[in-house]
Amino acid sequence: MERSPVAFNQNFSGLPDVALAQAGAASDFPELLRRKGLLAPAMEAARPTVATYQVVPGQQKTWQPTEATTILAFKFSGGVLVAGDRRATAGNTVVYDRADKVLEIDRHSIMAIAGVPATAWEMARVLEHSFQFFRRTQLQEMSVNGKVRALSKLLRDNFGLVMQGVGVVVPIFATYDSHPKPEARLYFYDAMGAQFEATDYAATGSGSPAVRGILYYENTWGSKPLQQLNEEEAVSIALRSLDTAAESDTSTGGVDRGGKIYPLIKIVSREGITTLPESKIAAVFKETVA
Amino acid sequence: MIEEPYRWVEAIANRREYIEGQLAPGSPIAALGYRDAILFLTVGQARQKIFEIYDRIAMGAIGHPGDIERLRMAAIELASTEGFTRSATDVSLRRLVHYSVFAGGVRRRDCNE
Repeated sequence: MERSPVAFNQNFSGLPDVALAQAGAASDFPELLRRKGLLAPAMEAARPTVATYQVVPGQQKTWQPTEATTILAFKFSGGVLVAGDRRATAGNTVVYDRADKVLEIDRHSIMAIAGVPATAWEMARVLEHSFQFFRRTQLQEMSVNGKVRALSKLLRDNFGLVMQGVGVVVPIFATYDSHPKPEARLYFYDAMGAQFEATDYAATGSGSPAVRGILYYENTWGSKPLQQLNEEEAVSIALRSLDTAAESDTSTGGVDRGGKIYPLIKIVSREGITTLPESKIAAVFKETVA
Repeated sequence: MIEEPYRWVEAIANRREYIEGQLAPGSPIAALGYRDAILFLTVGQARQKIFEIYDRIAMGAIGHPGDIERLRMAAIELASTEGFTRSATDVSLRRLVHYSVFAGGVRRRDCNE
């Protein structure tokens, strides 16, 4: 049979059928990574075997998730403030006192993490690349709903490992939605990947009960609701909350007055993400907290 | 029927001529390197011809949309996985162009025909 001189009309797109079938799957970055063996398989494949669950007589197997940290986020007049302490622990040991738990994913999105750092940082990395990969392949920015769902899916895929006792991550996701109505959006998750949109504030990690109490109190009976605070007032409340959490929770670093180590505070607004310089945090701390 | 060598060369020339004819009416893409950056420019608005591949890599192409799409996807996948496994600075345009995408793309194309 005579072949046509050019391949322009082999099929509609000129793509071989296999490539066409893969083109859809390739728009999902984690899926691409899994195909190339660069990312742990999703939950279904990682489901623990029966043997893992066999309880040795006399030994009660209890699953206890640990998220030793304190992360908080709330909306204020200038957008969303996200703050995290700097302490990383392994059991009773303080491993690191300058950990970054508030991570920038793209120009308008922050993921703050509580849980196992290895998994959390990997998740942030996958997420960051996923958003870029989507924009480059699909020629448009991923919607906020799409981004929120992407993180949810990563958590869900990781749940097999969580059930085996390693790699629990409970993040907060803050972003600025410019479409359809320009507004700051704040989400928190559970370890299985359920997403909850927060109207005012969210906190996660072992020190979060104290923080949640403070934020509820401030929002309800404080001098003004959180959403009406200016930047300095917001930073002040964030620092007070973390200091309170650190007071009773050994896994939360709070403010190291001696070492001059301050929490990491980032703000998401219409303009993008601002990382507050340490000098500014120190000034607010000195004036209103210390 | 056995094709003789000169017929084969002629057939290639025909294809080349045909493709050049097909591409001729397409509006051109120009790239201009200057001190701080590279300027990518095209005048046609009907169809996007300049694409983002990675942090500092872009691609401009005219031709069959399906061919461009395959090349574009291959380049993005390669650059993204490389950048993810190592770092963004390890994604090199030279390797992408000379050894990975275009070489691989052409080979795959030959197999499919």
